[in-house]
Amino acid sequence: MNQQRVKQIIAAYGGNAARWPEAERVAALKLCQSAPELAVLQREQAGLDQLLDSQHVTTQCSATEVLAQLVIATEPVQMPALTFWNRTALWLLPDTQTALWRPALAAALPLAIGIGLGVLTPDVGGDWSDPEQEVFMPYLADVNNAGYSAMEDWNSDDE
Amino acid sequence: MAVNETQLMLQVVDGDRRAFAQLVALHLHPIEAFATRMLADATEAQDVTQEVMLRLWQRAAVFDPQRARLSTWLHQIAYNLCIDRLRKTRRLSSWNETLDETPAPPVDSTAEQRTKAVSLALSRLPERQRSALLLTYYQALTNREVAHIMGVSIRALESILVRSRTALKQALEGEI
Repeated sequence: MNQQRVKQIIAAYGGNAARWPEAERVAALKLCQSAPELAVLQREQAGLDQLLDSQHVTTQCSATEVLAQLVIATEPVQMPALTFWNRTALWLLPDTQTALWRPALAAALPLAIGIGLGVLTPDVGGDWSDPEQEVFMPYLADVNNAGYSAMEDWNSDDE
Repeated sequence: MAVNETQLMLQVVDGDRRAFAQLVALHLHPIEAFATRMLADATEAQDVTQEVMLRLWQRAAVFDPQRARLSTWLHQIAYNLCIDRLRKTRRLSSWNETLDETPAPPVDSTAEQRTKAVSLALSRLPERQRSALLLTYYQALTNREVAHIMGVSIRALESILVRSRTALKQALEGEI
């Protein structure tokens, strides 16, 4: 320990010896007592030390909040509620390989619906008294006439 | 590091929430005070404090009592989080240790005004100077621990401290 080191300590840590590095404190203080210029340096730093000492902050965090955050952070993640369609889709297409009949059912479902619709749909031939008939009949008549006239032409060629 | 803290940390590793609560009670306010001074923003400081405590819980197994005290470890986490926040919010002073040249507004010599002036002067210090001063002056850490937290040598830390005190003296000339 020498005067130069004490000056460095005072400049870095301030004039309050309680804040000096513990390992060097006693030796530095001894030098300060024997060297007036070091004591002056100490006093010069005292003003800034007082200002820093007066700097208090208010803490607002509560341990309860921290613990509540911890509970939230470590709770299992809640899955959002599934809609009917999502549940149905998950049932039909499960992640596991144990229920392979479900995807098969999902694939067969459109076919079954198609057959069902076909069976249940009323026959379109039959009663043509609908107003729709009024629209289609002239067209069919033209087609038929054209067909007959073509056949007549063909027959006449044969003759 | 006190023996009971080592024991408590071992219990935290095992998922003991009571041990965690005891450690939170011991370290919550010093960490929040440091974050508040670093960030000059109470809300952000609370967020940082919560994050530090959460990491204490989640990374307890990583903590090595042979390398550092628990307090040092927690301050290092807080320091890094504060630096990240300062960078993200672009409030980080440049690493070249230059002072904000904007003059501090004149203040009355009342205690409240003096406190504000000191707070403002601290917030205008480059972040390394501010960190060094706050950790050394307010956080009851040794110079070796502060150097460890900041990743510098003790000689470099002292050099930073001298610059920070000089800058503060200049900024607070009318108050001293």
